[in-house]
Amino acid sequence: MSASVAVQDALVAALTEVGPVVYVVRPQAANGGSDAVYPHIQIGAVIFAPWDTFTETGHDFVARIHTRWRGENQLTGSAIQDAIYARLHRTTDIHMDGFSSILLTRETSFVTHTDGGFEGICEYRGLLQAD
Amino acid sequence: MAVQAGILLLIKKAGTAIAGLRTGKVSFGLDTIDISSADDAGVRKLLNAHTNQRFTITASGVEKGGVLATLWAAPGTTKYLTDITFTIPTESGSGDVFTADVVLTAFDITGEYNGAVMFDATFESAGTWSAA
Repeated sequence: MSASVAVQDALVAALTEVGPVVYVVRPQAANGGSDAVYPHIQIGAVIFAPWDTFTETGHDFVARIHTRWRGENQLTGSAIQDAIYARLHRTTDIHMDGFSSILLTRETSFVTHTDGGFEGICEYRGLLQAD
Repeated sequence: MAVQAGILLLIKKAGTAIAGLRTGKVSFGLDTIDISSADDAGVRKLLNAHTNQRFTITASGVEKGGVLATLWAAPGTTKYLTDITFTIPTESGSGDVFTADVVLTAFDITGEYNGAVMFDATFESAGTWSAA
């Protein structure tokens, strides 16, 4: 299994425990709008850089986790982002098929307004080594 | 002349590469014999001979397996390692694999809050060596 698939699968599995529906690709309505359920979590871009040794393959990655919600304030989404932090930050309880997770930490977090709602984006950095 | 990749500078113990290695360096050296005197008009003069010919291997990388760390678990554990080979990659591939006994003279472990546990190790040649 490739590192990108392993990371995506691991994040989906871990974030499903948080509560809101988790998307890799948000469902699209016939008119081009979003059919996504709110609130929801989406696995966004995952950027990989090499973290090899002489004899082993490794990856240093940053995964962007999106949280989208609708409401009058940030409370709903902030609670979800806190739950994601509790689940992922420094966790050792994550299975990445074919790889060992050395480290997973939250690097950045912010919230922005979108049409009719809010979007929170958190970046989690991880180190992986192939088994 | 072809350029060689850095990962080809392999350091092995009994044919097995040191795990987790990310940087390897081999330094050869010797001590000269200074025979300068007042007759040399302030210019250093060296004897056409030398002493203390040696090499030093410095290696660093991701700590994995704890093999080198285990050697420091007790002061009495020998740091003398036999059957060490290192490869200085050349285009011909001839005479570039060195074999020697070494002494592990230094070992550092570093951990940062947002990184992996890393190591640095220094090996000093313990006698003569061969190349094949």
